[in-house]
Amino acid sequence: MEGLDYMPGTASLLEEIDKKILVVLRDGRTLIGFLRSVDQFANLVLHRTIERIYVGKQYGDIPRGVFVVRGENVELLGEIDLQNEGNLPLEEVSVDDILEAQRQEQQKKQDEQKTQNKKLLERGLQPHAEGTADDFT
Amino acid sequence: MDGYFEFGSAMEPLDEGPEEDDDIFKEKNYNELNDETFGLDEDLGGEGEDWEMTHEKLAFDFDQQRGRPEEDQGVPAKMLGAGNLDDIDKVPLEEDLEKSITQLVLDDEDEDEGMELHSQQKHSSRPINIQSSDSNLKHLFGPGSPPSLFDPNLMSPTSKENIWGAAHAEKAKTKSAEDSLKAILNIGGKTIGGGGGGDMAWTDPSILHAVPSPRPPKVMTLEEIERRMSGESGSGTPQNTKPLPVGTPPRSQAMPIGTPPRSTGQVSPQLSQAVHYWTQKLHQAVGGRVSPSEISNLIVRMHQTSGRISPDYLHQVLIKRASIGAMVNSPNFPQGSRPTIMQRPPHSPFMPMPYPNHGRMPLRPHQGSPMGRGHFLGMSPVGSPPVGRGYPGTPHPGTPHPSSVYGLTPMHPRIPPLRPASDPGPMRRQWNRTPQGRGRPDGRYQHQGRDLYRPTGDEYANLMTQREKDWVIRIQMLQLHTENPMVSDYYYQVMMQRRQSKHKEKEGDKGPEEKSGTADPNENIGRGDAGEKVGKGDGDERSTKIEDEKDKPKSVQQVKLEPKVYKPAQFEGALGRVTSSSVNNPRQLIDVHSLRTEEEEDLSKAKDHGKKRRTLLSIEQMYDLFLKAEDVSIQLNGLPESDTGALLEKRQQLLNDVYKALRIEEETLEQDDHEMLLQIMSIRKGRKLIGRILPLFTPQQGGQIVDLVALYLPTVLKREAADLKKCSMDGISQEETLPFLFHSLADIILCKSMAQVLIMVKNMMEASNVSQPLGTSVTPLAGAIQHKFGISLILCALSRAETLFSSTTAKDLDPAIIQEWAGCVDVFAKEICQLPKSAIAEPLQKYPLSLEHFKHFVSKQSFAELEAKLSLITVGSSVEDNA
Repeated sequence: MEGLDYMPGTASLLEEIDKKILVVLRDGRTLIGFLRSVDQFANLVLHRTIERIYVGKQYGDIPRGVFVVRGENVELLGEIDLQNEGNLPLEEVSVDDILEAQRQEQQKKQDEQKTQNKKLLERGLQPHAEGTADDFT
Repeated sequence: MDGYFEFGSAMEPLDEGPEEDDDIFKEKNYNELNDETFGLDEDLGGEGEDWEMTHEKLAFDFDQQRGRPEEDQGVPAKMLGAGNLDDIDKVPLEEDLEKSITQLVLDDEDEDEGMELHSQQKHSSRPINIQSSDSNLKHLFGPGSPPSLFDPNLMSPTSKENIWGAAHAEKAKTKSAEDSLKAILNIGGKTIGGGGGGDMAWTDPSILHAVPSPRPPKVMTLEEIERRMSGESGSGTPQNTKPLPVGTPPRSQAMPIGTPPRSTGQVSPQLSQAVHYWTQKLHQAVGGRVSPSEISNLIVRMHQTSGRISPDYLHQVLIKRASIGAMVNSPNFPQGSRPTIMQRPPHSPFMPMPYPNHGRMPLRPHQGSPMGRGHFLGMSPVGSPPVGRGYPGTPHPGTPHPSSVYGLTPMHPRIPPLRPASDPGPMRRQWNRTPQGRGRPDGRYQHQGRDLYRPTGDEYANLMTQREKDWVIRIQMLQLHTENPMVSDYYYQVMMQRRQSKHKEKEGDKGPEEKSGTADPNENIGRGDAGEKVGKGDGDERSTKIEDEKDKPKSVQQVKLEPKVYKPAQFEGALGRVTSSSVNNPRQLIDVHSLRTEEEEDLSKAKDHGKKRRTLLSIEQMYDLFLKAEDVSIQLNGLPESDTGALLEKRQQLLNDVYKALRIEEETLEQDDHEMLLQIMSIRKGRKLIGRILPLFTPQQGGQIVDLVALYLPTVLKREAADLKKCSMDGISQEETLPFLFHSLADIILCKSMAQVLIMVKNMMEASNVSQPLGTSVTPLAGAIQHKFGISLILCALSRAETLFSSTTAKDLDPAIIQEWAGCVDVFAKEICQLPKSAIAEPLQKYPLSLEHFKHFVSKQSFAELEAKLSLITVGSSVEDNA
């Protein structure tokens, strides 16, 4: 059968099948791949996936192959405009470079956090307890 | 003689012999000795003692067949493929054999043997007496016996393999004498029971002298298997793994003499046909969940090991395998770990393959099924190494076996029917995946409607079959079922309603005949058309044009599912508390208690707070009713007049409930304190609620409320001011509620009759007289005038009065009312005049008529004054409509 109607007026992942999509996960990763399969939990099967790391105005792609993503870890996803895909205002760099850049960025953030905490302690305040977004605490 | 018996050239010398220990053999525990020497064979389980009896029986029966009852030792019948007769030293044994042979009826085929035998008939026939085992043994194992004949490994008379077992005995009985001879003389190249059986032949001492070296039995073994296999083709008769008894004639088909032994690598066409046949059957039986090649492997293996093909057993095995395979059989499952998968039955290149797709693919010619077959072709010679005892465990080079990867459906828990051939599946892409000549697949954007065939760029497309997609959609639609669609699915419902009404309009244009019955107001507009079309849906589709079908929303009735009571999984015997928290069974993670703040030590304050909370609660409850009423109104919007009755009633009921909750008309009220309403009006939320609900009330109800608001105007104004002050202190900006409330009130006022207006105004004045404490310089009315809400009310009332005055003739106006009214107006005028212009608040709405109205009642002088003060606020630059 040609299939049941995709429900009118709704957004269904089934319409995104076999399309190149960009998925942002809850841990902040960005995956780009072809959506091959979904299920009722919005688990995704991504094919020819690359993980794209953004640092500043640069980005780097790491080829990852086939990904199976559990639905609850997806923050958002969207179809990639294949025509404009190459026209990013960002500069692509190699994987090593981007990883290095990422590492530096994280290092910088950590240092900043450290100095901030020090300053707070000097002033008698508790350092800002920043943690990852825990769902249950 | 050697050639006749097909004996090998040489015999292994037999190593030991218990010649020295005759005594031991005489003893009764001879049999037990053998047990410990040669090991126990569990299969026969200690039936060693019976062999003599069964042997005797066999012999007796056999002789009976041949009509020689007196011979109780049918030794020749039990002689298996004779071994080597190399020595003339064995002549005494040979003589026995020959004598026995001569007694047999010879076949036509055995002319040669018969001739030879005849020549030896001169020997006296003397039956070999096995019963006197001692003598025979002596004969055998005595010094005269050739050592070569004696193989202790082979001659255990009490071997646990019960060759004289009852089963075989029966078989022996049923076979003809002809077969027996054939067995003996190994005509047809078969050995009964093969090499293993040949081994057992050694157990009979009387045969030992005729039995040659053990080497040929090995050959026989392989050949025997071959023959068995070929003999089993198509028949599937059960066969024994164990070697058959010596006396048992061959059960498989006889091969004509001179047939060269087949090479061990190939399987006869008969067998492969049988395999194929069963493969098909079993494949259907398991619903295509196990690949045919696996099934055929199983069959062949089973055949080889046990010699029988038991369909039921295979079926069970496959079902088990299919269910286990669900966990195991995944695209990521290591291919090499299942050696059986790699084996393929060697098909002829042009053998039609019923399931080249292994149950999941369509037969798509343009996808290169010749290529696919060539694919298989390339594989099959590689995949069919000589079938030995075992399987080659090496995985195929190149692409893995596809069926093992995709042998199961994603909907494994359900047993699917045989997949239709048109069902696209991953198997289809198997062919495409081969690197040759396909080019790099790239992810080109797919146009719609391409999902039935492979688009040019994307070779991995349609991994998800249409069936799977429908499955997901169905699940999602089931999850959409709600009891209260307007609550839980508001936006969709409203959208569908709007579409429906649009479509109705369209249909209305086309003509009344085509207009279908309208949807049941209580019918929920469900999503999709998952086969649940009822009423409007079906009827319309046929009668309207195609474009209409696209536009028209499909309204269906939702399947009323039984509410499923969720029971969280319980685990027996689990230690500790098993965390089984899920969406349906959430566990409390955060403990929230309402903390009593330390500020509330003051009891009075606490009281107030409690009161406030209670009031808030009541407001919430009223909101609940009110919102329901609003929902009903929304539903009313989409319906024609005829059907609104029930809904209107429902709505009114709800509103009445709210009104009752306001306790305005309760008879139990002793005083007119209208506490409930007052409380509500004191709270912001309450004021807003009243503002929202007033339009829905009946005029009578609304009027009442307006009057009461007027009565308690000072309180209301005070509270509003206090709230605003508090909010500004806290830094929260909150909008005023009174303007909003005013608009609702104004609508009602403007519909009031003169008498009603009078009542209201009187209330206003009464309030100002009553509720204000003494000693204030400013009267409450003045206070009201200074508040925009208050002035608005006043002016609105005046405006209404003016309208009524001007519209009705003098006769109709009740003089008493007019009298009172005049008094009120007078009071108003006075108050206004007393206040400086700047103090007069600007009303929320301009009422030019109100100024006009003063003319009737005040002196010109006063009017001039009033005009000066009020003109700006009553007559603005904008042109106002007359009320």
